[in-house]
Amino acid sequence: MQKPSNPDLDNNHPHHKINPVPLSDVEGSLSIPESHPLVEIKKSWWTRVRIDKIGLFIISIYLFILAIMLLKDGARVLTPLIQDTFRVTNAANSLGFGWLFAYIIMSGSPVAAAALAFFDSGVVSKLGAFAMITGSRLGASFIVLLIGFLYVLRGRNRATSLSMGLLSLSITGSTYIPAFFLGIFLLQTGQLDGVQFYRGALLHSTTDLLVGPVTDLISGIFPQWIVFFIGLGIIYFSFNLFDKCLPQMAIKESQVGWASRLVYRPVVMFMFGALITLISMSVSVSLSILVPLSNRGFIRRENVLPYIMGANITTFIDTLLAAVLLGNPPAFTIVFIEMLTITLVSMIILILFYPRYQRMILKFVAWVTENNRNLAVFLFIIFLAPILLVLI
Amino acid sequence: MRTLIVINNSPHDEGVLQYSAQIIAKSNEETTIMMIIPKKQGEGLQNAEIILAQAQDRLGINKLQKKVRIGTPAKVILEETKAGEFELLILGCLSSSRADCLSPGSSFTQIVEGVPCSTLIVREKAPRIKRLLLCDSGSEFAQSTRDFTARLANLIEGEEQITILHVMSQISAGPGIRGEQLRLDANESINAHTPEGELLERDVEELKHAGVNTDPKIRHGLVVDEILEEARKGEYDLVVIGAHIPVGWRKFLLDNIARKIVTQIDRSILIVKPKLDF
Repeated sequence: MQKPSNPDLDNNHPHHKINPVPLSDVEGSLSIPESHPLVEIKKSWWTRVRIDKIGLFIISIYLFILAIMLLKDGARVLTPLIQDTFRVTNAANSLGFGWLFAYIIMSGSPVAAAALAFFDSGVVSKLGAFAMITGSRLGASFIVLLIGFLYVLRGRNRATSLSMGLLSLSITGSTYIPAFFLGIFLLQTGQLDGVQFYRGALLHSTTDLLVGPVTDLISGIFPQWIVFFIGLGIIYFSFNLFDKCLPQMAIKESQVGWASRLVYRPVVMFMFGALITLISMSVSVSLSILVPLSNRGFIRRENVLPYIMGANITTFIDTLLAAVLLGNPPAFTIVFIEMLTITLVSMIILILFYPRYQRMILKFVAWVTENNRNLAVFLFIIFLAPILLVLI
Repeated sequence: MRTLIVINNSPHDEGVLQYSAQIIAKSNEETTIMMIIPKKQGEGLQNAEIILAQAQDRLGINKLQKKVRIGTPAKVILEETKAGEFELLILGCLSSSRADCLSPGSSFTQIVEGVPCSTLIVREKAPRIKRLLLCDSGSEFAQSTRDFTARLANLIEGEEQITILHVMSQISAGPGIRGEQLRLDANESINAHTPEGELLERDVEELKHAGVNTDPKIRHGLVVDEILEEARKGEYDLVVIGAHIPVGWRKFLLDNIARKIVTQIDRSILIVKPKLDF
């Protein structure tokens, strides 16, 4: 196993952001001597509980709640900026705006939370918020590809460096875009408007008690538009902090390496991807969790596709939480429809034509990585698409 | 090798008898040839006995037990293989429609997955089995598949060429992974002592020890697609794969790759079932 030439690139990743493989995990696991004492393995679970990680988790949750409240407070004054300057007035504009926004801040979740804050403040409509959330995920899935591209520029193999990013982006595009139209239909017809979650009085008073004084203080010092960007920065930081709470994988090939060589049922990997992302909240973090499962950092093509499909659904869990914290029941409906439609599209693919879909996606990835011209064409399209959508 | 041959008075019988003749010729164990008829009718029974006698002539051996059984093919074959302690079942398609015969869930796949022994499904005629494709997944049951293939190759007259195929469907799990091993061919993998290379090297050594000519090969892509592609392009007389072992957690978690190959392949295929003591 060779060390990554720039370890910083491998470890410092915010949520939904640059998230290359944590090779350090693998290195760490490999550095465990063969005579690693069994006593270590037999330790009671409570002796392995990391108080510092629990502390980080509590802080990250607190910051997340604080950030949502700041976004809510600051979003209203951004109406002229969003509607007049950026001309985000319809669903297509919102889709493109969310997509570009995620490119710029190299993360999807803060953009999705901002979309809900904009909706709560009346800056964007229900359809606009839905489209912006979809766009945020399309933009976020580009991040893994971007990291791969940096590796290519530094002389690494094109296919090896870009495959995972391209798979993630292709699967996201091919499931989210049909789901987007289905979601628009459901929102326009209002068939699921009744699916709402009301923030209870207890949650309302608890969040107010916890973050109210801080939001009041920040709002008192800074202009509202700055409050919004402070919120955006805090949510970004909270996701970064949350990533650090996740347990570091230190699994040796000899322990579970055999399991990574097997070909699992697509539905099993789909559920596994959904479950892991439900905990990690980030597709890119979920993907990086796969790396140490094999000491070479390899994963079977058969396994990774449904894994990403599952991960793409539960990655909305933080956005769903943001909707609850905002105390805006229709915002919950928007996120619920997002998750429902992506689940429906994914299930249809898995049940009806998964083998064909699998080949199609893999062929597309192979085409993009075949030569520099194809890669350039692809990159040009995915940069141009959101810009065109904003300009429509 | 204790073998059960099933014929059903169909165009597939010719191929079944060709393969069987080559496998049982040097075998010391008793072979059984069976025909299944749906009802106990005098004429049907008489015809079956005539067909079996003709089949014995074609096989050219005297030490052959002939059986006519009444019932549905899947049920009878499952009963017979469980009672007879056979090591190998040889059969063609049991229905005239190939699509019906090979569809998942058909009585045919019930047989392949239900019998306790290895199964050779004959898809075409092969007067001489020369080219074999051994697919090694590297699983814990790969040894059984390799041993069975070596035994089979030793039973067949003449020299066979066995291509040992390992499909590497892995890709890098992240952008920072150095994936040189993902692009190596078989010889490069053996020289680099990668896990795949060591697997192939072990196969080559053990089959060479059994006196078989081998040719290791690595293909990159989806497991099922690459095996089907290699089987088609390489014009093999027989493709050998390990059976899916649906026991314990594997039953619920693992994909049935063997079934996908069996239902899609257009070559004769041997599905090797290891003896399990679960």
